[in-house]
Amino acid sequence: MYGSSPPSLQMQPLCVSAYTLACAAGIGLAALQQSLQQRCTGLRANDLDHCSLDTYIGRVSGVEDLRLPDALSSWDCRNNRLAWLGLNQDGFMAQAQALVQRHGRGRVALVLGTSTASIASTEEVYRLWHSAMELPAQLRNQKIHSPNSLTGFVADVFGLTGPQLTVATACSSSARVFGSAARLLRAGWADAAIVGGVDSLCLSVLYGFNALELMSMDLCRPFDIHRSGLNIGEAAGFAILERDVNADLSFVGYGESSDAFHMSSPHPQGIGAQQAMQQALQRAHLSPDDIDYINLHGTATRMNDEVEARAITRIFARPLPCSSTKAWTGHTLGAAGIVEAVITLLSLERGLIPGNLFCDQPEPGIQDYLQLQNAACSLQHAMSNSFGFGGNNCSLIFARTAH
Amino acid sequence: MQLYIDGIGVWGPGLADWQHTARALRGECAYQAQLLPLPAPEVLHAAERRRAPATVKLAVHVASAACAMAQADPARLPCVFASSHGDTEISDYMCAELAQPQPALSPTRFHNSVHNAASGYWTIAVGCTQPANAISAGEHSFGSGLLEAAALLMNDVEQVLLVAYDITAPTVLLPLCPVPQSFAVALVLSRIPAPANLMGLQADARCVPPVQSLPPFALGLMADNPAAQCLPLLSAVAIGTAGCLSLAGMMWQITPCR
Repeated sequence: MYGSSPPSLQMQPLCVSAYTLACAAGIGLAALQQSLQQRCTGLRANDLDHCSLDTYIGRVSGVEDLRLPDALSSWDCRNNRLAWLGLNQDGFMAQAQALVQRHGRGRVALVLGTSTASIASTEEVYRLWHSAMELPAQLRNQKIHSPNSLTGFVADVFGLTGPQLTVATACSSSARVFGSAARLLRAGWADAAIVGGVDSLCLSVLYGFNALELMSMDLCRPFDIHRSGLNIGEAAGFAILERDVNADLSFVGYGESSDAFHMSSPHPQGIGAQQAMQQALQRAHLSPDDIDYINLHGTATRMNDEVEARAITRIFARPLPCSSTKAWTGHTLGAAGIVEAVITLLSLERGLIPGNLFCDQPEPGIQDYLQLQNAACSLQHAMSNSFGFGGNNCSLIFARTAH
Repeated sequence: MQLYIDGIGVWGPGLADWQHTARALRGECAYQAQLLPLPAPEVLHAAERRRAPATVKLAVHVASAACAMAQADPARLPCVFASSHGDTEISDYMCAELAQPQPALSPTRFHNSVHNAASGYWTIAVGCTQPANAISAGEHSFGSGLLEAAALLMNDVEQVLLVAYDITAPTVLLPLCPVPQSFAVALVLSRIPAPANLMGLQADARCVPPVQSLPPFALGLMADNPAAQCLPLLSAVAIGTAGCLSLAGMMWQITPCR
């Protein structure tokens, strides 16, 4: 009934007219760039309250001391404070406000990714109940105990009334936001979009990944043959997507797929990952040879890195520079997509490939691809991959307009 | 662009399936609020059928029903799963355990706690490698899910599955997640005119929604469960009325096909 040849994969390229990030490796792009250039990790020994796990985390300093403006205080929680911190870097707030002025509150789409949302606040509620302590009014606020807490908060910050939603597909969440936004714009239901994601440190993810035996007690070592698992991080990142403006960077391709294999292990042949990358290339009208750098998902778990190496080398017959940057930031889960999109955009803009940190002996099969040291390099097209729990895969391609 | 509803699945208190729901919406049978036993979807493997969380069982059950009605191959459909509160049973379990001095989380329950657990279980069960999304938008989760699904159709997808669900929150969480009744709905949506089409949908900012008269049980469910925001649309399909609906700030012109 639906024909043997599906419609060709389409996308209207969008300008990335602003982007920003607050993560363990730097609050704001300048600090992040410095950490990348100096190969200085943002990871630290776990010092999160109520968590006795022996591991490393990517913690953003100063979130505890941050205060939201009075008008937004009903949204107060770690995740939204981190979001506020991110929004206030690199002049992003002013650019987003100007965007809303230009297009109208109903015509700027808001698509944000998160896996934690404000679960840390719900954890705190249970701790207070457990110790028979009084629940403060702030924590009785329904709107923060919701997967949509982040998007609700940011919509309130800008007074947005148009299409808005939270994408919560674990580690691919804030990569998928780009495709969702592109589709909304192409459907004519918005003229611009604010995309991004925020995940914050909480006991759920630390004890959860520990229970799955996916977390390392040491600093993570993406793609190293001796890697022993991931480190959890937190971050807040955002980008503005719009049409036909003067911007050096653009979003030109996305690919999405499912593994249909297992809830917490990737398909061993990386079929879903391959599909996502192929789709992104098709939408961007590019061939594998056109890609100058790939920011890998590279979580440093045994399975992900092994499977990802296989998928990369199958799609890209000719070796090209690839690296995981999770040893700088930690695996920021729901925010990983935007963190790594931002690092990829920064690489395009500054002409610097961040080499894979903490990898001494690369996983066989990908050693010809893995960029271990930083490299100054003029890049035109770069790809960023995010592969999440439940086999949820997303691949993004960004381009730099040569002048 | 004209979009179509090709298949519907429903599950709720006293609402075992779409056929029964349609009769209740038309007033052809008296509504009885009855807590039905959780479905055991055939499409899940036996072990999963026993162990899967309630959210997964409900979502997979209505998804299967909608696909069957549309005679659509589930493996070929990109899908959007929407839930306002996610799996509150697992949130309750995890937060209670994490409040202990030495938390010992179940790894299985942790990987079931991700918001995309239902979409994960579904794609694994039916062998679907198409894109799968899991979204939330507060009380507008159904409407935003519809928007996301429609946007897929407006781009390069011909047929898509939308599922919206919310489960009864554990008693202790009710003040924070006020959902006292479980409800789930699934729609197969497409952009191809076909005999299977039940209702046409088109985004139209100019249309003005009328004041809609819904039976009391439907109003009650809408107040109790965000996924039941679909009921005005389902009522229009059941009764065969044309008109305009507002969902998540989007205006939809609806036209019956049969």
